[in-house]
Amino acid sequence: MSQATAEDVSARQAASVIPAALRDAPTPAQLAWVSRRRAFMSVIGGLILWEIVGRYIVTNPILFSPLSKVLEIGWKMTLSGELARHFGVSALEFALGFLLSAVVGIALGFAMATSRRTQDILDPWVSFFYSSPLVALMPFFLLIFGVGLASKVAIVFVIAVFPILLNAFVGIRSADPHLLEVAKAFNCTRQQVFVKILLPAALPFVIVGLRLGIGRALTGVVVGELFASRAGVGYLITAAGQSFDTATVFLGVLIFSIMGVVLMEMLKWLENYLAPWRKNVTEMR
Amino acid sequence: MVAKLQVQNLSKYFLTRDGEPRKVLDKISLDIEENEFVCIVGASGCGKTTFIRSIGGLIPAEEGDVRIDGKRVEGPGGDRGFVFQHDSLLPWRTVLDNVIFGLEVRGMRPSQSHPLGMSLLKLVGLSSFENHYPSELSGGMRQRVNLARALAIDPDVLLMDEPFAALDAQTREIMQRELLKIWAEKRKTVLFITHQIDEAVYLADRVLVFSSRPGRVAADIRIPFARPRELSLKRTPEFLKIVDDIWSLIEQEVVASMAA
Repeated sequence: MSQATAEDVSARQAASVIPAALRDAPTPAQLAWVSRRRAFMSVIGGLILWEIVGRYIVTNPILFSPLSKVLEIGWKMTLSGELARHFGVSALEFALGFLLSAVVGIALGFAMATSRRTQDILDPWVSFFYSSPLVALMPFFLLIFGVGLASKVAIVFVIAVFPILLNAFVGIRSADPHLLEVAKAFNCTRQQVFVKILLPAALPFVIVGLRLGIGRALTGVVVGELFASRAGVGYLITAAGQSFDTATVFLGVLIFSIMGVVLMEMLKWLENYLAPWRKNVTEMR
Repeated sequence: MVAKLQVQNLSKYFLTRDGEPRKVLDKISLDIEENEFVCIVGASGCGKTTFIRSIGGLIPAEEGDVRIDGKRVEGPGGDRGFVFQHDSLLPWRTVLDNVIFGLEVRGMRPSQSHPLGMSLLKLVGLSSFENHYPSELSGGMRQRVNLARALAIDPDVLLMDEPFAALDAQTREIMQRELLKIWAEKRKTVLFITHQIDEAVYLADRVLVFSSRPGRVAADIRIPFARPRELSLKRTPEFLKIVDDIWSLIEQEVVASMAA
């Protein structure tokens, strides 16, 4: 008890020695809070601006639509179950295409980075396809896979796979040579080098690849459904556009945007979970 | 009796850009006794790092051989523990997991390796840091982990490649004293590379001076100071005399290497 009092006194003395300028400076936690508050206000401000422009400035419903109208339509479609149906179709196309591109992209990227021969053989093809506008393949996919799910999964896959592949490749290649030397000094087997050194070294790059892949996969879903489809959020947008229903077009775009944001956040969470040492690094600075 | 570490006629060549072989180590022979602490000093570019790396099996030597307890060794092995110049800790592993890396590679279970790692962390003065990541440690602390990691596999010979070169002067002095304390406790045969003559004289039983291009053993100097050694030893005239003698041995080559 008396010890605690002594500590209190010394703490107070220590506090009184801190110069006023330093004591009044905001802590990192306070600064982070300020940043978050600013971001939140910015979003709210943007939404209010959207509503004002739609309601009082551009009143033609073909040219623009206020947020309230978009939400109203969204609510109606939710109640009728129509929205869930479209969303389900798009989400399935996205999930299958993206998972396929993640698995194939990471596997091929790792294979290219660890085998000289695989790299020599695949490299020209990867360069060729990575720099091609692969969206243009959609009519071809429609011809061979039809209007249904398969053609959408195919377009999502080819659009998303290359950034994932290249980042996985670069990740393995960027492993610190000093760490590989440590593995050698401790007599690691090839498999141990891969699991204990290369894989964790590549992880941050793989995450970046997946992040780029998510953005491109969503584009793939939209493009696929714009060309030809019977359902999906992209179909919703196309159909609404053809009947000059701008509010529904906005609703569709908003759904894709929210999907993108949510998926990115999930990836950030995944990174913090898989790579806690990196979280530490950023917290330190 | 056979020396702990024997190096016989070790030569090493590098290929120049034109594809010409260039000799960087020229028939180096030396014997290190059990529990002996030997330092190698020399101008930069004299091949001292190449030498310790070929002893450690990190790079092959074209001629000659290395024996531990009379047995020829090739490639890296658990009989030699390597302490790197760059701390080379795995950033995704906690301090404890870095220390037990060599044990884990050999298939030791955590239930066995963790207590061992903890006792080594205590030895190097880092108990209670076991769950920190390397990015949270200072340079001196990281080199302590580096040392503990090499000690964990309980090697016959400890190979240290300028482990304190990247540390600031004060930390380096403290680490030198700590190293001697740990060495006194663990009793290892140590081969230590440095470009700092006072570091070599303070630490070693014997200091080998390398000459440059190609690397050769130019002098083999026995250091007479009793142990344990205090850091204040470095300020005594006897100590400074030896440092000065070694410095005059390599001065010309240092000047030459700076001109090059």
